[in-house]
Amino acid sequence: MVSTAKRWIPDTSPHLQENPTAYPKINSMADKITLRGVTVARPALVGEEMQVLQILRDVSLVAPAGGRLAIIGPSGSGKSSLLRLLNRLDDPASGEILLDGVPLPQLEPVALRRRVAMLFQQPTLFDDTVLANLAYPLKLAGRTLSTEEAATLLVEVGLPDELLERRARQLSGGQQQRVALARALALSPEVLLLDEPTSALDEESTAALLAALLRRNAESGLTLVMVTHTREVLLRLACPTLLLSGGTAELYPDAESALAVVTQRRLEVA
Amino acid sequence: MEPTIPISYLDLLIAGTLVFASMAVSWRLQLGLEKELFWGIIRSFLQLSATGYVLLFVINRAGLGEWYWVLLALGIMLGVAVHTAQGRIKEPLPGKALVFTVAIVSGSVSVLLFVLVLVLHQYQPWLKAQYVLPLAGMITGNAMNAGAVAVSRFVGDLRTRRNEVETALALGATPAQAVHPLRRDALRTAIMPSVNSMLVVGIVSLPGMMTGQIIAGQNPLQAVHYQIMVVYMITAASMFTAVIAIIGTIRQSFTAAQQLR
Repeated sequence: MVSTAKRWIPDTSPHLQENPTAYPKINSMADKITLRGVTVARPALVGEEMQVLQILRDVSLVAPAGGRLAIIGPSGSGKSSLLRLLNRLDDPASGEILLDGVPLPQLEPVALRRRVAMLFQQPTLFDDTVLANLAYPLKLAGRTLSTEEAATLLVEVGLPDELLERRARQLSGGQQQRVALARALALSPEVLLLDEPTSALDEESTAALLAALLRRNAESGLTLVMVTHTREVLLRLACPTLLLSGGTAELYPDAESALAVVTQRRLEVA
Repeated sequence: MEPTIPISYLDLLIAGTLVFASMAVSWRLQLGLEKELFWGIIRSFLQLSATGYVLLFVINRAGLGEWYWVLLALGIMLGVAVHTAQGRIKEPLPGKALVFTVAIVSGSVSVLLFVLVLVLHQYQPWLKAQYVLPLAGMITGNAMNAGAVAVSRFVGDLRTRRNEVETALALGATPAQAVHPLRRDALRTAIMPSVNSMLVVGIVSLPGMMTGQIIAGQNPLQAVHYQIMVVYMITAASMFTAVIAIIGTIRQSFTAAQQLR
């Protein structure tokens, strides 16, 4: 891990902002997601006036294919905002994001989002059966999902396949989040973005969710990018960790070193 | 035809005592509506009187062949409808003036032309302001309501159901696919009043236009035919306007990169 960990270290040196092409290319074949000088801004009400506030400046990093990346930071530090750039639910104020070396604006948004799936903090299941929810992304793509395939997806997230015909919104919160994960995995994405997916879950659901994620990561090379504020989840992910605070991003090679800095600076993170 | 019983200003004052009685009730029950009711008496009198003079003027001028007065009146009617509709949208929606202009003008004018050209065609009604303006008023008023209700419901839902829409987008839905349930709810809400009025008309409601024609001495069967046509055209204008307004709203609510604004 030591050799790959180095590649996660962000290069925030000035030459990068002036000349993005000067960014050192390291084994670009395996670069899944590349951020170059990404600045995140969002409109906010300041007093009575709407202003665009920079919440994150000059984030540069490379995430390898099949890798894992954790994002931590105090609330309001821009974790979700950064994550939402990666499937283009939002665009950066400046800078560039690439998937497999291709700038995101050159990809069709729908195609991009099928390759880069996302799991939100609150699972939003459609008011239909579990089966219909799992089939939804495939239906959008003009494909169908057989009952067997749906059952396999449910089992993958640790749920019994009897749930297929149940109304999705009648399930418990933990079950709903796991159905949402199964739905996000239904199209076999290359990258999965996770926005504090375990924050409302009990231990059992959290464990099932993490097990499914780590299995996909290990067996299918699914690249994981997860925002989390839970120490146990972070340690379980055991991966390079991006710490956002005070408008900047710092990358640490592993969870422990990031947590050490968190403790040292007394940040309210995990 | 028997002439209509005329109503004098004194008669109106007597009719107004009905509202004075309502004011007394409001005062007795402490509803706090006395001031509004009083202004209601004054304003309805002044506004409708002014409209009466304007209609009289336009109908006379159009009768002399000065058709452009009809177009001017139509333009003002549509302009006020657009202005009123967009004023009812409290949520921010970029370009809402354009959305409502396109929706109300195309929804109303298409139905008005349809009725004038295909239904009343034998009598060249487009030269007769006493047909064009009342029909246009009914069409435009209902189109305005339907458009405003649809857009208001839709942008409200877009805020409260943002998670649902973004979840769909994140699963590879196009904006049109992502807002499908919201669009359905908004359009149903906008169209239901027209549909309901079609279902109960003549049973629990006797529409103002029909009763007016009957009072004016028109054969009730002919008055009914007019009313049937009116109900049909109101439903169509509401539907067309609401659909066009929602299409425009969807366009305005997403970026070119299919992001929710």
